[in-house]
Amino acid sequence: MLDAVWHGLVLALSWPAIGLVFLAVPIGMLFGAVPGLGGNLGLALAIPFVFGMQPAAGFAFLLGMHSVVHTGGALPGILFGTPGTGPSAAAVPDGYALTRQGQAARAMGAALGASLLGGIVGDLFMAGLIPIVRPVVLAFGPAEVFAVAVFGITLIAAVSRGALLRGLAAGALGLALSTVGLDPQTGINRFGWGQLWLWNGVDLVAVVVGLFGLAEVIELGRHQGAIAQAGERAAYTVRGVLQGVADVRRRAWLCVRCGLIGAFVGLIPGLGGDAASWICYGHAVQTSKHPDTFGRGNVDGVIAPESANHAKEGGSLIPTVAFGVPGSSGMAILLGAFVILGLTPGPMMLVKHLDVVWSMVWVLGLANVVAVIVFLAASGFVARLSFVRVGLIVPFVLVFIGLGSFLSQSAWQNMLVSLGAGALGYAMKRLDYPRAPLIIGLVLGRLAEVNLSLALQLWGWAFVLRPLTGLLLGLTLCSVGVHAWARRRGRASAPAAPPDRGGRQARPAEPGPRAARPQLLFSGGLAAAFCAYLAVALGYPGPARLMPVAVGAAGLALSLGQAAFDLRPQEVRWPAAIQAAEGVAVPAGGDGPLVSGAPDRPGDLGILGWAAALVVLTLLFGFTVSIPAFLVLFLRLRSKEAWPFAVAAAAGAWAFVYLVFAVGMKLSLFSGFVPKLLS
Amino acid sequence: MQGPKSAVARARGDLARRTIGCAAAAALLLAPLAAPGQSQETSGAAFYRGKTLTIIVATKPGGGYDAYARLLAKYLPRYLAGSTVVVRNVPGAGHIIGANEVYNARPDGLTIGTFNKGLIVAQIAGTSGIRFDMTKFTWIGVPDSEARVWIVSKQSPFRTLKDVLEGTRTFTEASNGVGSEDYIDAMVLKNIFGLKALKIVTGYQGSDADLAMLRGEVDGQIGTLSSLEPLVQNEGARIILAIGKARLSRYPDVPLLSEVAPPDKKSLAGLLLSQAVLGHPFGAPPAVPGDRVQALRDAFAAALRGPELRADAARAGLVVDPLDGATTAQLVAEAARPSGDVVALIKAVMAAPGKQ
Repeated sequence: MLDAVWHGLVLALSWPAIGLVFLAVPIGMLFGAVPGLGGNLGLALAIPFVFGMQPAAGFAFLLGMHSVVHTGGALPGILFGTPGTGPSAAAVPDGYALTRQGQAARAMGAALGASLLGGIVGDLFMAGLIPIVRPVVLAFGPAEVFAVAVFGITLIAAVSRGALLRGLAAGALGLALSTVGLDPQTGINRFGWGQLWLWNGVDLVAVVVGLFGLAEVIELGRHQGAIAQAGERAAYTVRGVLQGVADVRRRAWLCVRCGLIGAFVGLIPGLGGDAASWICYGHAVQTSKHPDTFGRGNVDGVIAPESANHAKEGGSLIPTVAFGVPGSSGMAILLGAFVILGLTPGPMMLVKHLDVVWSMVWVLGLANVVAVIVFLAASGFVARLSFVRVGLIVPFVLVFIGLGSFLSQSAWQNMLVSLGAGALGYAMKRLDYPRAPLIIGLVLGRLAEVNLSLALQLWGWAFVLRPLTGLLLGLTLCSVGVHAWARRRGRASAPAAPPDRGGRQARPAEPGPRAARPQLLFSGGLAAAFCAYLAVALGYPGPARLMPVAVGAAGLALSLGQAAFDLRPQEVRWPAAIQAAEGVAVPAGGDGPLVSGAPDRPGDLGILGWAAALVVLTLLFGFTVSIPAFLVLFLRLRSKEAWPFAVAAAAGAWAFVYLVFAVGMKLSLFSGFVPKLLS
Repeated sequence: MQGPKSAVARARGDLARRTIGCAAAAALLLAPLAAPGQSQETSGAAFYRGKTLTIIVATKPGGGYDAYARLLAKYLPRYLAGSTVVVRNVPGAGHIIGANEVYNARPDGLTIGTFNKGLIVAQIAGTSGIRFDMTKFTWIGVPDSEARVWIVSKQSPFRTLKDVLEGTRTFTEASNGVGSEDYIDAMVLKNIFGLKALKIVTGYQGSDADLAMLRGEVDGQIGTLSSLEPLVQNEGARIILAIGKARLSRYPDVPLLSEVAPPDKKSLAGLLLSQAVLGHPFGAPPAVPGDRVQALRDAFAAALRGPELRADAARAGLVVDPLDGATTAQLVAEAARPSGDVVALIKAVMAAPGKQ
């Protein structure tokens, strides 16, 4: 054993393996950072290059690339609110809030520190588990995976602290969205109305770039100045980064826990990596002493998901190696690479090629360290962008969002999904609805339903009595009970939420709810939507109906409850939110403009209009025309830049997109309906 | 050939007039510049010079369809001289979006695609959203005509096909989902053998069914030999039935469906066989000019004969056992025009969600 560990290290550090790791990490991070590309495309494009490599070298390249994708995805998420991948979206609510407070460096430092520590924990987890992997993995069948998914869904309540009813309603909305598409058991195409692009469900990337990215850009467009509200005082400094790293050291235990959770989630095939970071985010909120500060710049909200993102790769490698059964979709592609490199995954792999397996563990660790270096180098440069004035940043982020929503499924309809999600996200932001629950519902809903359906087919409802399933469900119930009780007590004894020790601000980073009218309009609209959803769901046969009806009924009750709140006078609205707003309202210092500083520009939704214009232009003429045209128009008409600058910037951006996507990756970008009609 | 190359040749010709030796040298110099086999280049092959051929893959990157397309994209340019071949993933809706895209592409021979042959059954069942006719695609060929096998797990009390046919207890079969290929296989086998106690559990995605067999929660599953053979070799699973043209060379004792199917069910067995051997089919839109079809089919076949492609494929664990375009078209036509009772069965299978 020790011999194999040592030999594995030698393999990982030998030439060219070590060089390939350094080459692969920035590539992987790029695939993560650009929304819609994702790690799987990166792997598929890289596999032709590993033909003929030595196994250790091939894996150094592929694993190095694959393991840092979500680390890269967090970069634009924290800086612009536009996450590159679904899992990295979990760092957005708090990471982006920190950036807006001028603490981008700290958020970055926390992200990379957490990624490093969490990744090491994940590697150790994998290393420790190699000898006993089989029984552990085989203990988790559909019933157990369902129980874990249910646990994840109950975290919605934790994430919604301070806005419980609104958070739960948003969670129900996410769960409802997760039921769109082919029903796992009956094959009925639900809520698709014959739309083929909806067969596989609502695209996660299209939703997150809209719900977070576009919504934040709309918000940005209302202000002058830069993304970072603090102005010149705060800049991207090494000291800021070190502060973030110190945050990780302070919260090391949280980081270790999340690393373990991430690795464990990765370990269970069928649970999927998308869930890991969100479960950890929920866990961080649930166990925090100041849950109300999440979503408003609590650094724990960055540390928890980032430690999981890297750790889960160690976990999901285990079933891939030991069974030849991939733990995630990326690992499914890697599995193909195993064979190309002359290795047959399966139990014999742990006997015949144990040194190669250990070299993988080492490569994961090494990639982790290299990623931190790259991240540090890249973030220093990219983070400066958050201090550039909004008029220059917004159009490029919009192009980024448009491209990402298209590329993720190569479906033009997803640009409309992002547009809708952006409007929804902006409304939720203004009306103080937490957005994380929606994504948790969307990610875990499908997982829960597929596995519930399998468990019911195999064992009927008696599946809840299977020992491990029963235990997990029981623990979930206990956790909900304990936290509900603690919350009740906490509210009675200590009503005002004290500011987070590290965070400078604990009040809502958005305007407190004032007028009840838009509130009521939104909750009423939500109730109407759930009504319609329920009506459609009732028309489906037995197994296809179960989850939608349950979710629809819950969502309807929650949104009606919220509407009833919104009908009442403002003072007796949700106590925690009010306390948070009044107790720590408008701190001294320069981070106030979000609420009161810059006056709202006329046409609150101006940017949404521009985004819609980009989509329409793209649909008509394709990206080749729409990107430069949109950029020139935006920079000239809205940002009032000089013509030469606008044209030069547009040309530069167009050349970059064309060279990287069309030439480099040979992706086909949408070419528009007008050229299609003309030909 | 007209164009820049002939201009060069003329210039070289001037040179050649001076000394014959120089002319010979020029010819030798030029030979590597010209495409291999240029002398017998057909009008179809000439068309592809300087053009880009797009292979549409109806899945996301990764997986068998993507792997075969990228393998061919690497080697086809050698046999379509001067061409560039790119792969485009058009995923979604169980391959229907990709197949629609290929069928409705411009029939200029510059777009081909690969998608699930199970769409034959979807078409017969009248699945909504289909904007193609499987029999009217211009079929280019199949790289991997491979047998499908029915396997049982090590823990299962069922050891042979006979055990299953006797049906003393319920046989639990793992499947992807209603309408997927393994689901249709299982439902049709159920009808062929009159299996009452066959329970199909749907919703196992990707290789989750492999783990379900290891955990012992299902008895078996159906899939291609190459995808399921690791379970047989590493995990003690057993093959109980093969759907293929001939008995499996490595498992000669396994019965073939065509041998054991009751005489009155031969047409159903034939449907499963023709579907199985179609592997990962490649097709172009209808009405591609004949000479270009010929060029594509020739290049496809030649690429799959190439030793380097075969070496890559072997390393990637991809089976290469090609069918030519004409045979593919014929098999699709046979499978897509079944007798009335088969149509009725397929419609019942595809339209009975949740009921078994």
